[in-house]
Amino acid sequence: MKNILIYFSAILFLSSCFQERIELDLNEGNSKIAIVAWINDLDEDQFITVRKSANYLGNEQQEKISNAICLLDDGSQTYTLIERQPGVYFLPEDWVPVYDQSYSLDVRIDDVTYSASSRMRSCPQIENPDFLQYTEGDYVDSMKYLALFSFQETPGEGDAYYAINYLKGSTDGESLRNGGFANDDFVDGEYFEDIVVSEDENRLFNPGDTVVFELFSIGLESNNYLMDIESEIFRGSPFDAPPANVRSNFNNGAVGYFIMSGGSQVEEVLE
Amino acid sequence: MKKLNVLCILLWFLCPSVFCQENQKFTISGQISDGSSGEDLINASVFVPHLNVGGVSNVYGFYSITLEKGRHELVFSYIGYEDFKIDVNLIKDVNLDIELSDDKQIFGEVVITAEKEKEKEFVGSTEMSVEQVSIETVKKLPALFGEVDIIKVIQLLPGVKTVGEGSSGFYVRGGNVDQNLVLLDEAPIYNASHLLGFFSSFNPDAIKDMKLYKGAIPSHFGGRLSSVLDIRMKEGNSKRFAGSAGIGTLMSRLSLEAPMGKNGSFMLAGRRSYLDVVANAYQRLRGQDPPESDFYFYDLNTKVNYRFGQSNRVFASGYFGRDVLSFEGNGDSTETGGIEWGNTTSTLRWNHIFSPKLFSNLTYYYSNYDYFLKFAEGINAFKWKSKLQEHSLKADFGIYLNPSNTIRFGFHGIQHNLYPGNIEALENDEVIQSFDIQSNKSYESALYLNNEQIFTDNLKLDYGLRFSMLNNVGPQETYSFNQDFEVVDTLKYTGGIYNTYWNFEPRLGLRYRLNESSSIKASYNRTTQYIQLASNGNSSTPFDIWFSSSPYVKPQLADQIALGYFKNINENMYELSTEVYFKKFTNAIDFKDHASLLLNDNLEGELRVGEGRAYGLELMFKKSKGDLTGWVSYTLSKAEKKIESINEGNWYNAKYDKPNDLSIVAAYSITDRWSIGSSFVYSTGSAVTFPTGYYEFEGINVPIYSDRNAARLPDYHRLDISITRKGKQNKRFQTEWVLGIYNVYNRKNAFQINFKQEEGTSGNNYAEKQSIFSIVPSLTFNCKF
Repeated sequence: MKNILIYFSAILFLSSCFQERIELDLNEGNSKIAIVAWINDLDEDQFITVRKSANYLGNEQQEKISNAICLLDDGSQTYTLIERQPGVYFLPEDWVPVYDQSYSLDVRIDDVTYSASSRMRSCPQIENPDFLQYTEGDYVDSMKYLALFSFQETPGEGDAYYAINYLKGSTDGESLRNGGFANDDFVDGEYFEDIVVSEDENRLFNPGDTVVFELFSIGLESNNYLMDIESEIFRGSPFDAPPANVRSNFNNGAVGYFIMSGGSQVEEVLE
Repeated sequence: MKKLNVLCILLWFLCPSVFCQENQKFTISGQISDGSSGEDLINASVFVPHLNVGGVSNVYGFYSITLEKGRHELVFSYIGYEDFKIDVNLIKDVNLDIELSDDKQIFGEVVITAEKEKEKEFVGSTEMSVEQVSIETVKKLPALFGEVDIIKVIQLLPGVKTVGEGSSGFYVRGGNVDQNLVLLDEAPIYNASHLLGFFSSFNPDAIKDMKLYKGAIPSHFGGRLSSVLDIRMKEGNSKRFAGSAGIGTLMSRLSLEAPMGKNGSFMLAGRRSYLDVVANAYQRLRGQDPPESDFYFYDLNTKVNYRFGQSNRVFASGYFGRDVLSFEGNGDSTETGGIEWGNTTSTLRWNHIFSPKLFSNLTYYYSNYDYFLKFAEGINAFKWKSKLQEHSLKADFGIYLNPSNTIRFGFHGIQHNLYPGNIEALENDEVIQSFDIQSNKSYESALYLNNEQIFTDNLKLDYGLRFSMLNNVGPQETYSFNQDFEVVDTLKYTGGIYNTYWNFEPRLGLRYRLNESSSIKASYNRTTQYIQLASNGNSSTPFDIWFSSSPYVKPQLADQIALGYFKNINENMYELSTEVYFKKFTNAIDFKDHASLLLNDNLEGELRVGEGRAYGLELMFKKSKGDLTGWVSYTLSKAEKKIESINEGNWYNAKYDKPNDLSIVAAYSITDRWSIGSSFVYSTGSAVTFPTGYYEFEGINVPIYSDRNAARLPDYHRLDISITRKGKQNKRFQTEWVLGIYNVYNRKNAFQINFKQEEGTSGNNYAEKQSIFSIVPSLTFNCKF
């Protein structure tokens, strides 16, 4: 389906003879509290960011918010996040994830508390990470490879997954643009075999590369949030819905999202 | 006895002459047609000067007027034709067929010489909120790629707004595109565009007449909220073999017409674009193999009519249009794909004259819109097909009771068959997975009654009532939703009627003549719409999904009131009309944020229902006589919606809200052979939603938007001109060359504005404008024989 949309986007592009950057005097919106909190169970620093939204144009950077009180609660224990950098709050190292548990995150700023909740889901293990020579039509590039892996989808509807692979040590893994996500509609409990996350020519791997494979169990709600973002940043198709704010699971008008997710990570060297 | 009294009062009310006169009355009736081609003349005037009474011919050219016994002078007139006067000694009912001569009409020349009676109609009829432009005028004006298009001319009229640059869609008085009923010989055209909307489906060589009702919609029309565009095809020349042809920048066309014996005629008209042919030839000239791709459209109009005696006439007409777009991947790519879409309509009509005072027409039509999409890569393929079909029967009766009362009544039944989609996944041409979006069947029916009544010389009323009904029939699976619009229950109906809606739709028009040259008019109408288009984008695509009212989706209603002032100025050299209107929409629909409409089996879950309103002022100043003709139209308007779960429940601009809209249209005959046409349009930019802020999430700048449709695209304006040079005058063969320039001063009007993020940066966002056309020259050759 995506190919078809791209195809028709191309038609629209062809018929759209002229594209030019323009200066636009956009209304300045009131800044909102923006909380980005994607916490997983991988063995790495877990943190959230608390900032203010910025004006869309004008190369304006988001203002970081310090001295917020950030609390993560798993129903039986509450953890206080510590601000190690301005606007960045880290979970304590003794934090232990509890699966199938609903977490709540409270961020208190100037006497207003912004709260959201998310369920921690365990993640299936990545299986059979492998590489496939890149081909386009009959052309085979012997030096370029796609990364692929398999996993067993968790039986029971309502699951969704975010996957990404990247060159170890690069920052490619930090951008949503390089990942992919899907839910278990129509494929509940099935075995996902040889999943290719990205066929982007600029993100192929070479022999000798150490590739990091990551899979996160994010749940349907978070999947919908990522879909909202995708529909907003890849605009231009004739099938686009009108622009609209992406959802947030924080209350009191804050934007951003809180996701708790189990993760699976493996590294594989491309021989 | 009491019932009898009521009946007598009613009869007196409708035909006072029955009780108040002693003289005998007789009826003159017949057909008014063009003397050179035999084409029926619609709305031709018949007038009795000494009595100051008259009437007009209906859409089949039929007229009927009842007068007292004795001698009468009758004047028949029609715009652009010589008046025809005749003295009649009326001693019995008379059948009088009239042929008007268009000697003044020379090929290519626009005759916008409004005749006296026509001008009286402008001020004297109850019609308001109606726009009519002759096909000759349409042909005189500049057009995109030189391709004459009636829809593009309609967009130059007050109260009508364009969907977007070059688009054939239009919005009328705050209504969406799907709220326009577009009829071709009474059959609805569901997607009236070619080439992704750049051209309309209507071949100007096949069209005789068109009329747009923006309000005061007569009771015999129904099913849409905002407008009716009634387009009639030519019957065909019943006097001699004739035709016309044209070769343009993008397409060519040919039409032929001829008599069929003494009592009939036929018309056949076709067009085909040749973008693909030109592109392939160009590639070959460059020594390259052309790509394996097609991109073209064609359409065919045909009509035959035959008269069986004085009282019976049969018409059969059809339209078939298709767009084809396909490609094969270049080089090593194994991708192939394509889409096709098009309309098919066929109409059968039987005119029967029961008596000189009673005219009837029985219409059956079939309308089909379908599209097909295929995309394949290697052994895998994906197919999607969808269609909408309609069968309809309409019986319409006109009683020409007396000069003061013309009654019209009838019945209209439609069967809607909606097939939203069947999707198939194939491997080696074998279906490995198939998915059907549930089809839907419903019956829409209506009874209507209308009377056009002259109360006094100054006061005339047109009042009517339409009773409409929708029945959903099974088998069908319907969903129930909770307050969060989640499906909580599924109901299965095996067959029969499972849901019914009905509505009364009053229609009222009033004219009060202030003096010979001016009048005020007022109207009220309620309209109901039972099927609608699922569309929330701003672009025109062939992938229309229509859905019916259902237990969850109530019919949409619109109540419109309008008030107007109409004046002829300087001995009818100019016409001035000004109207104000207010329209209230009930059960107005819109789609939730991030609605997914394509291939969605649960479309109703994406729908949100609320209210809407539209109001505005329309001004039209028209010059109809002399070498310089044209009009200036200006609309000041507002269109808004209010839906609980959208825009936090506050009023927001409809996407088609463009408060200021100005059109200046002029045609000037320099000499008998040279003429120039031009049009200038200006409108406020479309209402759009722009981001005001952003925050970063995992490397992506997520936009934060203001209220829905609170921002605007830059204002739109454009000037087009055309120069026409006719060949030497020859009655049997006439030629002309038309040089057109679209967008003369090369303004890059914004089609849409996209917002993007510099790759690999944070905070570096920018706006990018997309424009479709720059300056577009064109050259067209036309001939007529």
